[in-house]
Amino acid sequence: MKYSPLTLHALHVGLLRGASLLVPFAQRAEWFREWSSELWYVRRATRTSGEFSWNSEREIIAFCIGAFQDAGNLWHEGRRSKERIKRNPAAEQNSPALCLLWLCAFLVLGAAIASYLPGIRSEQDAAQSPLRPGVILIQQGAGGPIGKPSISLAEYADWRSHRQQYFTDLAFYRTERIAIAVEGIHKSEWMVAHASQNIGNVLGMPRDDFTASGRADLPQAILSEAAWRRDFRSDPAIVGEIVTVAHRQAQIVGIAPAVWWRMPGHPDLWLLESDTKPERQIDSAKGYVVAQLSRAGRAQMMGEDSVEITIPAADGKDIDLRGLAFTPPTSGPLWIYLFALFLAVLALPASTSVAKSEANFTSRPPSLRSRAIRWSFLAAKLILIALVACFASLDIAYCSFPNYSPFAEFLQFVASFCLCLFGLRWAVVDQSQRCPVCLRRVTHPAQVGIASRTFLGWNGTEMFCAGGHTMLHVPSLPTSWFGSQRWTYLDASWDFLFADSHSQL
Amino acid sequence: MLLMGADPKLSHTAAMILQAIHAGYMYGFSIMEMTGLPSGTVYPAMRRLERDDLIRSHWERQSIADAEQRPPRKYYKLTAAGRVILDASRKRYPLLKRLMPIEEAKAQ
Repeated sequence: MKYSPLTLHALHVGLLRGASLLVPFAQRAEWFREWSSELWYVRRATRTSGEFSWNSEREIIAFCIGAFQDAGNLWHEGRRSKERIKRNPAAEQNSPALCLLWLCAFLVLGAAIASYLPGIRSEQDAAQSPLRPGVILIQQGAGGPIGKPSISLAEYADWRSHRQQYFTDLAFYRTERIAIAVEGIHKSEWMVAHASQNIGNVLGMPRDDFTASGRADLPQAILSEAAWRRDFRSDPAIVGEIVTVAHRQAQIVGIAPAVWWRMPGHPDLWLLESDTKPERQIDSAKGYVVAQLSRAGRAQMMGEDSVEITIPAADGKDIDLRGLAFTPPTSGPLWIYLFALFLAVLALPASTSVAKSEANFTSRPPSLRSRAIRWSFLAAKLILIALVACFASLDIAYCSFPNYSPFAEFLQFVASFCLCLFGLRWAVVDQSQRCPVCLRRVTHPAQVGIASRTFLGWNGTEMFCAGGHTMLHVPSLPTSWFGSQRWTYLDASWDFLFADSHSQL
Repeated sequence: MLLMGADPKLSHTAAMILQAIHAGYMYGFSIMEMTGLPSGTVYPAMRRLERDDLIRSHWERQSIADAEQRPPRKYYKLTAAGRVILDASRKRYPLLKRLMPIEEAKAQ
């Protein structure tokens, strides 16, 4: 790609022109003359061969961006001179208000993103409406893979015809991928579960809960919560619509609870088949059987995750089955986050010294009011960071998972822990570099002394409060006489550097 | 305004810029190159130094620039107060001399 030098020059000059708008009018012409003159020399120095290169262009752009800082400073100065009494602390660099404002902005951004991610709502819903207790999945074989269809409709029908001691009810479903069409709205392939009519009763959602007035001549269909959000943008009007499932029509009578997504096969649509004339149910096709344990069954299971079930067959050979309890869902995203926050708070003292936020003064200590404000600022930062970490971890975990997923929960936990730990650490370190008088962050770090003379003189870093109140001394090598950072009040000899800053305080 | 008799102090960045100007780097871009500081730091700092009467600026004559077919430059130089402050800053920041040894070479 070729870039015309004239175009690039126009871009650079345009940047300077844009920055010059910030400069007070009286200084603008002189300011622009200096910067455009300097730009000419920068261009000459960076484009040694006269050819376009990204590196030189980056340097020139960085130079032009510096003009905005310069112009911004002049704008601030101009405004300060006009508004010495009416000041705006949030507009100042390093001010505590600006810090809180940034954290609030991150919080709003995180919350806004979270409100658009379907996985978060799905997870929250799943936590709020768990499966009925005592529901198990029955499958063939003690050592077979979990979640694989292993029981035929004929076997299910046989079991259901007998009186059961350990189960109050049994339900069957079989999944297959079928082309689906919803009138004028959608057409694609979905995972459809051909389920027995009592599936809702067994899973804890009776049919009465689906309020749509169904047509008696059509089979009923329950849309999964995930498909409802994914393909119909959570449109409640979809209930009552007619759906065509492989040339058969059915009516959507409700939306399944989010927790149904955890059932093996992850169906998008539950088609309730008639027990008397199951049109798409094939006797030999394998499916899943879910059962509601009776009181005796629950006592037999004794809180275990699985139980062995033996069914005596007509030929004398016993059939070995396994009943698997659905893993109890976690308490939802909130509890995952709170646990991660708890661990981060425990780990925080190992990553940084919390005592660093305490102000250590060489002379008079700050007043009680100043200290109260300082601690309140720290508390506000910690709370905001905790909230930002909460939403950001959810955003990270569910940006690529539209439904419940154990991996998303794990990702949320890891992200929560890391964000909380590093966020809280930042808050403490930031606090240790905030002027105890005005809470501005100290700037302009300068190395003082020579490391080789540590035991003869002081060696470390000094930073100033931009408001001209204090100076922070941080030793490079903690010694017995200078172990931790110290604050010093700046006396009158520093006033000439902070003339404007003092006037606004 | 400086308080004579008091112990004057300057930030390290400002001291570096003063040292660079004193060492003969008299316009913004050369100071940027010498100190390694970005334009967004150098120019605002120079404006503050000029406001505090530590440096003074003047535009190069147009005829000189025209003769060399380039735009005129805005040059900066230290004031007497700037030299006093720089001397004090050198004691405070001993690495300043190492950063810009040209001035020492000039003195020899």
